[in-house]
Amino acid sequence: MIKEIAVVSGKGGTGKSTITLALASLLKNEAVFVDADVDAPDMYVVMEPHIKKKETFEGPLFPVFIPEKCTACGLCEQNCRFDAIKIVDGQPIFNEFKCDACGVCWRICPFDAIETKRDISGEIYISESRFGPFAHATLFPGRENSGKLVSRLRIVAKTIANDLKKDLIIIDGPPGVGCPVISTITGIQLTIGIVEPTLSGIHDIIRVFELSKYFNIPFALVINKSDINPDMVNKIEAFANEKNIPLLGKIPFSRNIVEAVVNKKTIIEWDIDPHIKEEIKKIWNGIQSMLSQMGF
Amino acid sequence: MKVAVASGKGGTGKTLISTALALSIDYVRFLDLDVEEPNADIFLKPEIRERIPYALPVPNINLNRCTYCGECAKACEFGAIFVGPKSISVFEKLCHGCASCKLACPENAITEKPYEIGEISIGKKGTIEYIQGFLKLTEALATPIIRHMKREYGNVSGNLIIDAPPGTSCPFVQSISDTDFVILVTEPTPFGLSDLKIAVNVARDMKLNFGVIINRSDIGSPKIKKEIKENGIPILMEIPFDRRIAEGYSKGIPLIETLPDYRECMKSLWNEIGGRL
Repeated sequence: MIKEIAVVSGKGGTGKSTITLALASLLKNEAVFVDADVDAPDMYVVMEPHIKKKETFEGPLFPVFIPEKCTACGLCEQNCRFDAIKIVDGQPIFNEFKCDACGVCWRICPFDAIETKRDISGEIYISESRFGPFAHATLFPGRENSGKLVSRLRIVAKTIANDLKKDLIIIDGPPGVGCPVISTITGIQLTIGIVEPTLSGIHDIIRVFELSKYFNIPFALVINKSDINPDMVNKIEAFANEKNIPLLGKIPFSRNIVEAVVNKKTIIEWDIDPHIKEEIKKIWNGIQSMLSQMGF
Repeated sequence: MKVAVASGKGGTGKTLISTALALSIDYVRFLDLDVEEPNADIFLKPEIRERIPYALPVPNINLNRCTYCGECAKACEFGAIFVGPKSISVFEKLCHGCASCKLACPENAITEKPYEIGEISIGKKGTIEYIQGFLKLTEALATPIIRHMKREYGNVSGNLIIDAPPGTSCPFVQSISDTDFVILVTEPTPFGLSDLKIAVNVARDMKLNFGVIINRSDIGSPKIKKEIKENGIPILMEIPFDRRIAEGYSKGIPLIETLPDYRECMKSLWNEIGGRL
């Protein structure tokens, strides 16, 4: 059976990509990697993928106004709940950034003055990298639907895993707790939460933990930048203890980690305190033992 | 003046900067639009006087009138209604509240009912009027709350600061729309640059004024700063890495309390932005 693991955090910038990349370079070719942070994807920077296959990702239907047919009756403007249409001087002015692509305007127009066009929202890539197969995507700036794109990306990754007989998929997740995160974690086997010892970090990781629990997905924690605030680390440990959440590892803040990223290397590949590398291995061992306890 | 603080990449320092700005200028309304993970209250510590539930209008099917014709499901672009031979289901979590189904129903069998997806908190801290949006856990759609908050609380004649969500998709776009200026916070790493470029493209597409603050400016690569400049992106301020900032941040201490010199920096930044407009 193919197992899917996702790395999430709630709060952005806690180190999801850095840690996912470290796992990638540790696991080399043992898994399929996915960057599900489709509106701010970063893994490609270090993965330096060779794109083997591309597919376009179709977004929703957007309205196209035909000025010759428009009588400026205003029905579309009145019924648009997103303030995307304004009739100005007898002409509809359309604001694509406000449009939710609900279709009300073109359905309601009595004069067929609104046609539709299918928007291309992004691209999905199947790539090869020095760490093995990599599925990633770009969502064109400002486009909606990142949840749907994430779902599509997961299907693509599963197909790759099937074809190449890999039984593990590791997903670098998006920040937040909304649509893209829900699409990332539904039906996976394990969620890894990366938390930094700050009040914001703790507040946000609790939300993702609760979300993961709601979907019945086992959850484990990694504390990143662990030396920034020892009190907060204690709080996180107490929380993990109380909720029975395995704490897989602690990674201290290090300028070398930033240097690795700048040089497009993972922290396993870069000249870094061996203790940090050991911690990554410990995290991976922890993941493995959780999976085996689940019967995988 | 309406200013949004946004970033593309998460964790670059949006909330650090937006709260420092708010605390440095007087009489400002502060909107926390990072409704999935709102954190500005940790730093501003406002007194909340009111919590208002936010509900989307979702379809309410009158089964006495419904003939299961399926027109509503056909009209729903979000797959939120499923109609079987003798059944109809509404998936509220997918509904955008557009009323397309109601307009399409030939039997007048659809009215609307409120479906709560979040909450808006209103409070005060000194002369800062604080308004926070909050998405209920397991709800998928952040954009409707953001849109509602922009409509209800975004039109002020005075000063407005918006703490925007990370990313570059819909919630980001809604948060920065109709503002006078967008501050994009980045860090000098390839990750920061990659996401900054996307955010800049959106801001340019939306014809918004913007500038960049480079946070932890001495960590990472000087090449990145050069590249930001080469892309014609104006740099407003650089904040060098300082362990005291990181430690203060971890405890919820605002930047201008940790390092009081930043109060003047933030004031001049605000004036400089005003001057650019």
